[in-house]
Amino acid sequence: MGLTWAEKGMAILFLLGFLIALIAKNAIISYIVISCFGFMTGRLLYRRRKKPPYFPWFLVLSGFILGYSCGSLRFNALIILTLYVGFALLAYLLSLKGYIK
Amino acid sequence: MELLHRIKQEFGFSKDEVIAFLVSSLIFGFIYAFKNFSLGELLSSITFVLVSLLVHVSVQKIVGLHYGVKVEYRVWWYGSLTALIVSLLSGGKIWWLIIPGGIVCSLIAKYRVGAFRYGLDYATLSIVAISGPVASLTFGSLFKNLILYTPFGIPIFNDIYQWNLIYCIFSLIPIPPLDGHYSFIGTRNTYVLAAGSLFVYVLLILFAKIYSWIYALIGGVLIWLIYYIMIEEGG
Repeated sequence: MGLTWAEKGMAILFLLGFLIALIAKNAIISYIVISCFGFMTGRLLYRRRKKPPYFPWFLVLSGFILGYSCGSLRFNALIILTLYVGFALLAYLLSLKGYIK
Repeated sequence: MELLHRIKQEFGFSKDEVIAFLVSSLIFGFIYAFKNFSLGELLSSITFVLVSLLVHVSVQKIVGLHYGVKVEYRVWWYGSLTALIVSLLSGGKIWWLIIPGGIVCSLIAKYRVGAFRYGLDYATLSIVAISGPVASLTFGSLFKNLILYTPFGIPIFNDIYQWNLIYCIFSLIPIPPLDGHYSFIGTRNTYVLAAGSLFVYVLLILFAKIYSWIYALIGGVLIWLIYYIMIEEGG
């Protein structure tokens, strides 16, 4: 049975997240990078908010954050997760309120 | 006179645009300064990036007003953040990914009344968009000429020139929302002429240290001619 695009995307983004996390030289860079990715995720979710299905996108994005977390185990995974979710939420709300276009 | 009147009436930047300019100049100023980071370097980078962006978009706005089109600058969040991430991960070595944003065009109804083909058309958008990269190249070249031909050259002029040249190259990439996509979709002949001229200009700098718009334009016309004969006519 072949994989769906969401499953393939999840696998690719898992690897990508893992590699990007490995490249980051120190914790601060890693935290800034994940904040940027969080912001981009928020924008993506805002753009897709009226275009279901949503589940494949959550699958793909969870693959990325999982890969990134695995790659940054030498740093604090909880901070990474918090920054990712926090900045995604921030970007989503800012876009929703019309502060960023 | 008509254009002057339109500039007096319509030229300006909205609150959203001012925020967009500030965000872009902060991100790309930081990216440029990241390799040799210091507060002075950061401030100077932010300033020249802001001025360069203002020149780029202001020329597009003026050309837009000539055709009765309102031009607004928007940040490209994916592009800007990707450039920031790449710069951070490479330790500032890849600072040249300059893709801050693009323009959004809309019609100014009162300036299009009676105009042939009333609505927005691709050819107009193409010319408006391409005026931005041309302005950036001209602006950067002014500073290079100050270094080359006058005793007033200071090192930051070289940075301004370098940044504007690369901004011009990246602006011409035909992916939305960059300027190149308007031109590529609108009139491919203009796109090939502009991109070809820029290509020759960069080649001349890299291999012969010649800073010449005239040679670049001649090269661009030759590339356009080859394109026209082989693809436009041949296809």
